Amino acid sequence: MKRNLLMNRLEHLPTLRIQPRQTLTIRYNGKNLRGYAGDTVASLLYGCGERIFSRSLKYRRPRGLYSLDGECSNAMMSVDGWPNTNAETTPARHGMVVTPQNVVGSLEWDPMGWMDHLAFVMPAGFYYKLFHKPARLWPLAIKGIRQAAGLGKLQPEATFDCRCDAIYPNTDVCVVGGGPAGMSAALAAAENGLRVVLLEARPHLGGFCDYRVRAEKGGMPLYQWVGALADEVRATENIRVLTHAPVVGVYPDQRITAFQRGSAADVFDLRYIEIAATSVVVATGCIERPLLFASNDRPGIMQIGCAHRLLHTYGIRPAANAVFSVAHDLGLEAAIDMHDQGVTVHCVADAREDGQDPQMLSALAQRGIPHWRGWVAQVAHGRRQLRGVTLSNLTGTFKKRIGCELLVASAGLTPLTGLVTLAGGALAFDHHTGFFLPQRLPPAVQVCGRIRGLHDPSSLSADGTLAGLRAAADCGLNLNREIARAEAAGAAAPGAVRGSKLAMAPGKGGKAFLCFDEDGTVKHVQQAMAQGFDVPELIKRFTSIGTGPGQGGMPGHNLPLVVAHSQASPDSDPQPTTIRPPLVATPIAAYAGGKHDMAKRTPMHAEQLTAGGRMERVGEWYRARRFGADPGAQDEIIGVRTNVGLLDASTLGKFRIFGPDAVKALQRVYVGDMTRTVPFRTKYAAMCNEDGCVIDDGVVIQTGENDYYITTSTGRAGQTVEWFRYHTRYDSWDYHMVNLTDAFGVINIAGPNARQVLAAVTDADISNEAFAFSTCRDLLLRGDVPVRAMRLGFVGELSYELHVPASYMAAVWQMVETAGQSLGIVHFGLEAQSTLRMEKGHVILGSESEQRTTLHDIGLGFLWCRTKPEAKTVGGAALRHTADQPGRLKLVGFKMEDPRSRAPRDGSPIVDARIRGYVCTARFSHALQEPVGMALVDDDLVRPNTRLGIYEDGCNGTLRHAMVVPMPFYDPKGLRMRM
Amino acid sequence: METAPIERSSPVSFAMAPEQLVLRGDWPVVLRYPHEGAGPWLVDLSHGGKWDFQSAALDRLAPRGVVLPERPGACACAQGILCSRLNPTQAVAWHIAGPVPSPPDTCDVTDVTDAVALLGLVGPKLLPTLEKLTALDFVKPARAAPFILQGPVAHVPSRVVCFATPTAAASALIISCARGYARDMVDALLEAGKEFGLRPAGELAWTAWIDTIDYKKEAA
Repeated sequence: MKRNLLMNRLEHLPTLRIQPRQTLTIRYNGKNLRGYAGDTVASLLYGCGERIFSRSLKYRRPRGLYSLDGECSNAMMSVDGWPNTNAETTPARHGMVVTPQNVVGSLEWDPMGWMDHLAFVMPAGFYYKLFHKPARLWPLAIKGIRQAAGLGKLQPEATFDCRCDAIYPNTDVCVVGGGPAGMSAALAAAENGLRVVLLEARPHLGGFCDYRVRAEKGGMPLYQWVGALADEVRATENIRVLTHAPVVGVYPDQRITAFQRGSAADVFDLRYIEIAATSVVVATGCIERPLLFASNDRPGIMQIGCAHRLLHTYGIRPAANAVFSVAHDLGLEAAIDMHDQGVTVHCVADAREDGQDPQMLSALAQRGIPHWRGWVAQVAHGRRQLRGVTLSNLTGTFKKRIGCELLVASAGLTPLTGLVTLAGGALAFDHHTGFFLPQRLPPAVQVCGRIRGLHDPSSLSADGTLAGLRAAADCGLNLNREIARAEAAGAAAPGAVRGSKLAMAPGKGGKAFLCFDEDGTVKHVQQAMAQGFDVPELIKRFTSIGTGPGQGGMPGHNLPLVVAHSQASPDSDPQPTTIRPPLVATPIAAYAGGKHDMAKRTPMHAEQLTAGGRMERVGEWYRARRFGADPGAQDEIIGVRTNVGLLDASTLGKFRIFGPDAVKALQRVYVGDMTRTVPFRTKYAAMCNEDGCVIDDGVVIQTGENDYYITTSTGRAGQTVEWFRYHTRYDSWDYHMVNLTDAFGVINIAGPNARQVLAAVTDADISNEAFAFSTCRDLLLRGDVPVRAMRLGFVGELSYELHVPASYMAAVWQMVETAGQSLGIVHFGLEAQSTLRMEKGHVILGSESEQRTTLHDIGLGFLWCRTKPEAKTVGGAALRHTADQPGRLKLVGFKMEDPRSRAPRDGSPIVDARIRGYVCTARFSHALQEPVGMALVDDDLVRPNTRLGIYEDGCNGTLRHAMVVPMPFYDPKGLRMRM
Repeated sequence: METAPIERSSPVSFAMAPEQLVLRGDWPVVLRYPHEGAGPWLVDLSHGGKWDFQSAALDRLAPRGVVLPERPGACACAQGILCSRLNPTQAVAWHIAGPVPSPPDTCDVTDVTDAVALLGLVGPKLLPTLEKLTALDFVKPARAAPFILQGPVAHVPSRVVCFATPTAAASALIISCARGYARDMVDALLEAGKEFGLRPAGELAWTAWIDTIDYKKEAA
C-alpha cells in the first residue's frame, strides 16, 4: 500500500510545488524513503504511507499529520540529530536522517501507551497538588515525570553543522504575509517609491490561494491569479521578498524579528532577520480552529488546509476515502477537489445551518456528495489510526457512524493576530465573524486581508491596496486622494463573511483535545473552572494549555470560546489570552549561530601567545592569565619579587581630558581634590557612585594647562566618558574627553631589577632622584619611540608603567625583552599580578569590592577630600553618611591558622552561626611562605586576631579557620616601591 | 648589541603573505595581496594618520590642511584628508590617500592614529555585506555623499563613512572601530562578504578607487 501511494503521486497538477523529476531519499526509522524536491519532511513521510508521526507528551497517544504549518508538536522529530524539528516546515533534503521522538518501542506500539488509561490521576494542575507531601517524595516524583514526559532529547555532546547567518535590513514598509492582501499592500507601497520588505512564512507566495483551482471572477483560477500577483511582486525592484521566513516578534519603533530557512542553494541554513521599518502591514491571514470532539487527535484526522495542500501542493491523495466535518466554504471546496482527484468523499457534515456558497452546494450535489447542514463529528473511532467517525446533529439527538480513513475536520477559521497584539493593538470579539478583531491599532501598524474577516479575492486585493497606501502615508507621503479611492473600492467589495462560533461538538466522554502539545482537553478546562479559575489567562497557566511549542496558536482561540461557553454568565464575551514572542517556535541557533564573538586583543596578544600565555576572556578583552601550566604562577611571582617581570597592562582605560573646565569635571567625578594635582605627578584617585560605593580607581596626571591624562580600571573604560558627561550635563562646562584606551599599550616592568632594564632602552636619567616614585615622565626609547612612563607600585616592587603608542608596542616589547634577557626577565600574567598586589594589600575593584562597598569599607577613605563641597562631588554626601556607619562589611587581611594548609577558595563564606562575610581573594604567599587573603566581613570581626570560620563548598560542615591580621602583608613601609 | 629596526604594527592582519610591501615612515604598508580577484575588497587603511578635534568653537578652528564640515554627519575631503563632523563640538580627520601630511596644528586636536583600526571596503555588493552586520541605514534619509554614520557594526561601536550610495555598482566606504576589535571586525566582514566575493586587498585597490574622486583639492 505504501509503495502504491508513492507511485500514485499526482504529477500533473498545475498547483504542484514539488519537482516530480527530482527525487530524493531520506532515512527514516531505519528505512530509505523516497520523495521529491519541494517536499517537506512531513509531506514526504505522508506520501510514503507513514501515518503515525509521534507520541503525545503526557498520554503517549499516537499522533499524525494535522496541519502543514507547524501549528502543533505532532510532527516534531529529530532531523539530522536536531531534536524538536518540525517536519511540517522542514524541507526534505537528500540524505537526511529522520527519527521519531518521544516514543518507546515503536510508533505503532509504544509500551508507555498505558499512560492514556491513567488520565484520571492526572487532572488539571495535578503536579501542583500531588507528590508535594511528604516533601521527600517530590524529587522522586519530578524525576519520574521528567523521564516520562518531554519532547525530544538534546545530546549535550552533539554538534550541529548549521550555516547560520543574520541580516538587519532597513525598509520603509514591512509587509508580513505573502497572500493576496499582503502582496497587494506591498505593490501599493512600492508603487509610491518606498522600500518594501515582504515576509512570508511558507516557502512560496500566494497564501491560501496558492493551492486552490477554483475559478473566481474573470474565470481565472485562484492559483493563477496569485501567481501573477507574485510575479509582479518579484519583478518590482523595490520589493524584497523573504520567503520561508516566519515572523517571531514585533517590537517598539516597528522592529520586526523573523528567521528564515535556507535551501541548499542558499549560503545559510538558518538566518536571523531583524528589520527596522517605518510602517508595518500585518496580513497574516487565518489558521483553522480545531474541531473539539472525542478523540479528535487520532492519526487520520486533519485540517482542511492540510488535506487540500497535500493534494494540490504535494500531489498526495490523503486517503482513499474521507468524511468532512467543517464549518467554512473552504471545506466544501476541498471536498469537491478531493472528489475530483479520486478520493471517495462519503459526506460533508457542515456545522452551519445556512450561509454556504450556493455554487459550492451545487457542485457537491453534482458529484453526489451528501451535504448535511448542522451536523458535526462527535466521536472518532480507531485505536492507532482512524477507522471511522460518528457524526451527529448539533443537539446530539441524531447520530450516524461512517467508516473512513480520513476525517477532514475544522471548526472554522481564526485570524493570526499575534503581531497586532505584540505591536500594542487591542482585540475584541466580533460576533459576526467569530474572530478576535483588531479594534485599536498602534501608530504605523496596518492590518488587511483575512485577518479582518474578508474572504473574497476582490476584497482582499482592495483591502491590501488600502493598507499599503496607509503604510506609505505612515512614511510621510501625502496620499489622501489615493487612500480615499482605495477606501471606496474596499467599501464596494464584499465585506467580512459570517464565521462559525462552534466551540465543541455535542456529546460527553472521550478526550476532546484543545491542545495537542500539552495533551490538554476540554475536561481539563472544566476542571480548572470548577476550582475557581474563571478567565482563560489563568486557566492557560493552570492547565498548561497553549504553552507548548505550537506557541498557543491552535488552542489560542478555542480556549476563550470554550471558557465563554462554559460560563454561567450569558453576556460574557470570549477574552483572548496574552500573546508573547516568539510567535513561532524558533531554533536557538537562529539567535546564536550568526553572532560573532567580538572581543578585543591587546597589541601584544600574539607575542604573549608565543611566550606561552594562557589567554582568558576578561570583559571585552583577551588577557594572559599566566605563562605556563602552573595555576599558581609561582615562577612568575618569584621572578617579580626577586628579579624583574614584564606585564601587558594595555587594557587599562586611558583618557585625555582637556579644556578650560576640565578640572571642574574632575572635581565632580573624583572624590579627591583635583585642584591639588601637580604637573607630571601621578595622583591616585577614586570615583564613587551616588551611594558612595566605589566604582573605579586610577591615576590622574596633569600634562599641561587644563590638560590631563587619566587611567581607569579595565572594566570601567567603556563607561567613563558617559559617566563624566552624565554628571556634568547641566553645567555647560567647556571640557572635552578623548578615549585613548586603544591608542596606547601599557608595559609594566616590575621588580628590583626594573630600573636596569629601563635604563638599557633609554638615554634619559631614570635614577630614583630624577624619576621618583609617583611621578610621570615622557621619555624616548632608543631615541625614537615616545612613551609616557609612570612610577607606580601596584605589585609592591620598583615598577615602571610605560604607555606606548599601540603601533609601537610590539617593537618596544621586544626591546624591553631583549634588554632584560641577560637578567632573566620573566613574563607575568593576571594570576601573578593578583597575588603580588594582594600581598601588598592593594585592592582590585570587583575582587575586593561589590555593589554596596563604599570607599571607607575597603580602607580607601583617605582618597576622599572632606573639605570639598560634598553636594558637588558624586557620592560625597553618601561618603559622609557612611564614614562611620555601623553594620557595614569591612575589608580585612587574614592568615590561615594552619600555615601549612592551602589558601581557601575565593568567594567562600565566612560564618559562625550565620554568614558574616566572604573571602575576596586568598593565595599562597611566596614572600611569607603561607596562605594569606583578604575578606569582607562584618565590622565586629575586623579586630586583629579575630578568628574567622571559613565554609568551603563541599566541606560537609567542617570549617577552616583563619585569623585577622594587619595589612599589608608585604613590605608594610613601602620601601621596595621607592627604592 | 644588535638592534632591530623599529617598525609600527597595524592592528589588521590577513591570513596571507603580501605580494607587494613598502615601508612608509615606520609603517610597513601592503600594496597588493595575491589573488585579490575582481572585488569587492577589504583594505587595511590603519596606517594613515588620524586626529580627533574637539572644541566648543569648532567652527572657528582652521587646522592646516583640514576642511571641517559644518553639519554633523557631513564629510569633506581635501589633500587626502577626510574630515567628518560627528556633532557640534567634535570632528575626526583621517589621512586616506596621497602624501603623508603634517599633523594638524591646533591644541584642540588629539592624535588618535593608534586608537582605531581603519578598514576600507571597495567594490560592488557592499550593502548586502554590511546588512549582515549592522542596522545602520545607508539609503535613507538620503544624504549627500560622503557622509558618516555612527553605530554598531558587528555589535562594535563604529563609524562608517560612505563615499557613494552603497547600492551603486561600485562604491567605497570606510569603517573605523577601536583598534582592539580589529581582528574580529576583519573576520566578521570577510565572513559576511564571503558570498559576494569579498577578499583582502592591498592599498593599491583603495587608491585605484579613491583616484576617481576629487580628494586632492586644496583646503579652503
